[in-house]
Amino acid sequence: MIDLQGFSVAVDADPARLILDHVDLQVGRGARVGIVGESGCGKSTLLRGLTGLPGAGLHVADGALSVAGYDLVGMPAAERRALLGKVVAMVPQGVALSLTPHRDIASHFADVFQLDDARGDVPGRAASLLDEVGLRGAAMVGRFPHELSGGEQQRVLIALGLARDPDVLLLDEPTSALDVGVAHDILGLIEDEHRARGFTLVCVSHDLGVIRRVAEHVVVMNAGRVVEQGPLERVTAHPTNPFTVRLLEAAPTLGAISTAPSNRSPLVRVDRLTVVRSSASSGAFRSQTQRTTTALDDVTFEVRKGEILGVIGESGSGKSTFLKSLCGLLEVSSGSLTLGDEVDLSVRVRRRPGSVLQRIQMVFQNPDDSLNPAHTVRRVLSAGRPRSEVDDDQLAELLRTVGLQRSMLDRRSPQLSGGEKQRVAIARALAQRPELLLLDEVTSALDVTVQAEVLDTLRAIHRDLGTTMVFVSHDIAVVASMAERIVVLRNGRLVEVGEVADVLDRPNDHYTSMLVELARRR
Amino acid sequence: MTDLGRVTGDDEVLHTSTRRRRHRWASLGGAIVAAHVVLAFVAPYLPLQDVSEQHSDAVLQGASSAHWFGTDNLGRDVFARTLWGGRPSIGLAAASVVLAALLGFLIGTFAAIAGGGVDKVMMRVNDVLLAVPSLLVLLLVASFIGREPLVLIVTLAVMYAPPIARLVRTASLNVLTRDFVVAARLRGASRWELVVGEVLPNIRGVVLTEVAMQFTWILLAFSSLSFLGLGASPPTPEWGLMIAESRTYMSITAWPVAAPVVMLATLVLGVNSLVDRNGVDGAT
Amino acid sequence: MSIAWQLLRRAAVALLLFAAMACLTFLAVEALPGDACTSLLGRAATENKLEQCREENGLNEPVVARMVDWGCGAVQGDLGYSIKRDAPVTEIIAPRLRNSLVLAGVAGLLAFPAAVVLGLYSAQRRGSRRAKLLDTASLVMMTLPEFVTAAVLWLVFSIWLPILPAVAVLPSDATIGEILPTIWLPAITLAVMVFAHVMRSMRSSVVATSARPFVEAARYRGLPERAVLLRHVLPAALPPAVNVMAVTAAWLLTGTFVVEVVFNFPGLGRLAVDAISDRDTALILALTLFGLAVFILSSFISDTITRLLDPRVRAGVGA
Repeated sequence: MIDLQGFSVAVDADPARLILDHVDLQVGRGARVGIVGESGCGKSTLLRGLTGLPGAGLHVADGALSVAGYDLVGMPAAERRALLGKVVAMVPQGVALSLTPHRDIASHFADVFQLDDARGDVPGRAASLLDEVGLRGAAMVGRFPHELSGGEQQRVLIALGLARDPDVLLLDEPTSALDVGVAHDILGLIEDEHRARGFTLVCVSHDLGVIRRVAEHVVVMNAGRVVEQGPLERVTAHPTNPFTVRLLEAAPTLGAISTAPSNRSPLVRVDRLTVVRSSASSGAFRSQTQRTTTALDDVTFEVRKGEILGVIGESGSGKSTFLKSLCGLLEVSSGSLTLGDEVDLSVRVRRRPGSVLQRIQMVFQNPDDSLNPAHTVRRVLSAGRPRSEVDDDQLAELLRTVGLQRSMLDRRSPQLSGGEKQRVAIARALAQRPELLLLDEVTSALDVTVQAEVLDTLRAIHRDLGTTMVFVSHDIAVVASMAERIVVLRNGRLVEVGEVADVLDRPNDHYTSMLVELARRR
Repeated sequence: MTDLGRVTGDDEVLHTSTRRRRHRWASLGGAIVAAHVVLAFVAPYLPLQDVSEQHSDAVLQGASSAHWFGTDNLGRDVFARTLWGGRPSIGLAAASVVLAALLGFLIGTFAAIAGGGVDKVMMRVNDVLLAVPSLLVLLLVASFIGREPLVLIVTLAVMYAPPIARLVRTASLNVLTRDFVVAARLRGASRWELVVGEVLPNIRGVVLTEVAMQFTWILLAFSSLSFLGLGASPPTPEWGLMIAESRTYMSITAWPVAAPVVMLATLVLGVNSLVDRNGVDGAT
Repeated sequence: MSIAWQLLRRAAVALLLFAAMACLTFLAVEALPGDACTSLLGRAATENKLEQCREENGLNEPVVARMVDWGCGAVQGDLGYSIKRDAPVTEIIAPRLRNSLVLAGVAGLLAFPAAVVLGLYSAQRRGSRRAKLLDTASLVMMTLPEFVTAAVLWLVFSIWLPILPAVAVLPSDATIGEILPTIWLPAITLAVMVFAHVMRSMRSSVVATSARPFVEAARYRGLPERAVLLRHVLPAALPPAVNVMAVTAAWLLTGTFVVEVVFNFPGLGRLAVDAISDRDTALILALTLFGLAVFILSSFISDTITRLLDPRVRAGVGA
């Protein structure tokens, strides 16, 4: 069905730079192929390349591409366009931005139906397609993209891809930014559609779990090249390429569990904590009534001295709200939050004395956002202290703790990789010698191999310095590999709290057991 | 047109924050602007003819070896007047834009940090000021209060600070929501430290670009004012005024109009190329 | 909250804003040194004569009383009386307003359609030689002051190729038929400015929108380029351009002092310059308020259009 030979894609502005370097790929009719690799490896470009259009600013430099017998590289643009969606259809990445905001769902389908010049009942046909992907089609057609949840948008995108019954369906990160339960359902939908329609499926993901679910043939990419490909079982069980081996080893799996030493005294007491957040409703204009949501609802637990406490939850669970409340960035509505025996943490950050501020530090999710791009690493690490107190040896020692070289001191954040940025951010937090380190999804924006390294560093810091950590993540496997105890939050409520082993083996709650079950299956 | 520039241009400038591509236009623009500034400084020390000496026997002459750019309707040397003619406008515009930038920066950061009601009220006032046609206000002030440089500088600064304030506010808000600012708050940084240490280094580029743009609009506003007879007063050599004085004689000789026109145009375009306005949104 | 109710609310806010600014303007004009009497009498002013003049014209009343008085009159269409010109302000303004409207209309017709089309073209063909030429030309057009553009146009069309009249000498109440032949040079001068501003905003807005993922998604769905542009890019790219168009349209009515003076055009801009040099406060006040009203109205209109283009507002979500 797909025959790719010596396929190379180069940057328009710099034709010597190859994004794809002589890729060969053969895919049979009805096969399910998964492409996996880390960010920047060229997997998305390869997927786009299968349509003959590698994307803005890129061009096909070399090689041949045949899809369903058509030479998509050689043919004129207008002919190729006529085949898009009909022979080969793309379901794009980035759910929230891939539907046109000012057009309703029916118009999206009308666009596509028009291409086959089939007049007739557009809403009816659109509705039946939407029904097929598990949405209530009749109700959905008149809605606008912003009225849909992330999962619903992804389903609409899949329905749009299927609208003209393509021979090949290309999926780009179909579950990124979706909560685990929703992602699970979407993957199920993809499996069902493939079974029913028999198209050839090519799916790109950074997540091996996704590839395991949807693919039978795996292509592993690194730096623009295919480093290994073969049947799923063979590649995952007996990888031959060192990169594949690393990728497989780095993928977090439920297992590595440390146990919590008993009788530790509490460091933070969370007692019936309720936080109501008001948010100006989304949209480009001011609203009269502010919406309020109870982000944390009557939550009680404790963080014990010296432990790593894992907090797990999906979007809207209240896990970020919890961290922000600890930092004094949000107003506590009721209940109490105490540090040690005496310090009241419902005091906002501006009113906290320096001695309290210094005890709690935080590392953030987005590496690109967490360091000031205008400052050198030296300045980042020594911020807030008089220049005379800081010397390079001290800072170099700090960098060593987080696994970085002294030579980093003169760099600025744009010159650092994602993993290096997070390490510097950890070092910045450690510079304050905090008692409590808050880690907010610190590895979720990183590639799996980098994630594994950063997690190792955090474990080493915990071992050597004994800092208490609160490790927040949506990924139960990552949390389980780090934490001694786990708190599960959902919709602002405490679902469960307990030792990792207990929670994993004997979840008390239906929701927790679903999370564990899904993580096991990956 | 000066009002249009004041009210419309700034979303284009915002794009520069992400990536500013060096362009050969920028160095050309820089050279032109530098040449203008140097000329304005050294004009009094050059061996030029007297700018206000009138030669009644040689009015409206074309270019010659005696008068390189010819003479105007009063027989004054156009070359000398052209070289001198940038001094009032460049000096006044530079002073005004520095004051406007200061005002705009203070107002913009204050509004961004204060937030809430204070921010809303300040930006409302800002928008109202933006809606007032600047040339009308200038004409009124120059006519009723006076055309002393200090008066004009303050008026221009007040009229041209709002767009800078708006940009500073938007850019600061963008920076203030980022995690590294939260990190600074968590180590106990004061508001002043946040503005100077965290925000300022990240908005410097965009703000300077905007200030450079406002410089050109102020320059043109002042020239327009002179053109309308309420800026520089005769016999001061000033480009806008020179154009106004000589335009009725354009069918006889174009030099007295063309020379200041070219100077004004090259200066404005030079500043524009220096901040690389054309390259900005072309770079994706 | 329905869209109609929102619009009503915003209209009320705009009116209130205007009223507040009208009061401020009245006080500001009052605060200017000198009044109608000093300017009318000029050098001949003596304390006695000034006093007598102020008495006759009611200038000795308290400021607030005169402001209320003026406001009540304005609501009924009486904008005051110009002592200097010895005529009601409305009578002075009316014919010139008509002339300015005609001038703005012609300039707008010349500029707006071309700007939108060429802005789109330049964004679509970004990087091509023609697009670069267009961008540079528009930058030059935008940054040159009107008196320079006017001088160049004048040189070309009135002196080198004498096809258009340079300076019209027309009374303000000339018929439109008489005005039209003389309108071309001022209209083209204005159109050049407006064209450049609108074209550049259109271009940068289309370029920014084209980079958004939903555009690429539509393209990968196999839509022809034309459909992508008209249905997906354009509606999302229009609001910023509409905003610039509204501002420039307002400017065409109220900011044309220099062009009208250069071409001796009998419109509001020249009237304002004359009124200021005569210190005719009643006229200055009326013209300033007119300018403010036009700006507030134009931003209200552009705001409304922007909202109507946004489905989140149309659907009444979040309100």
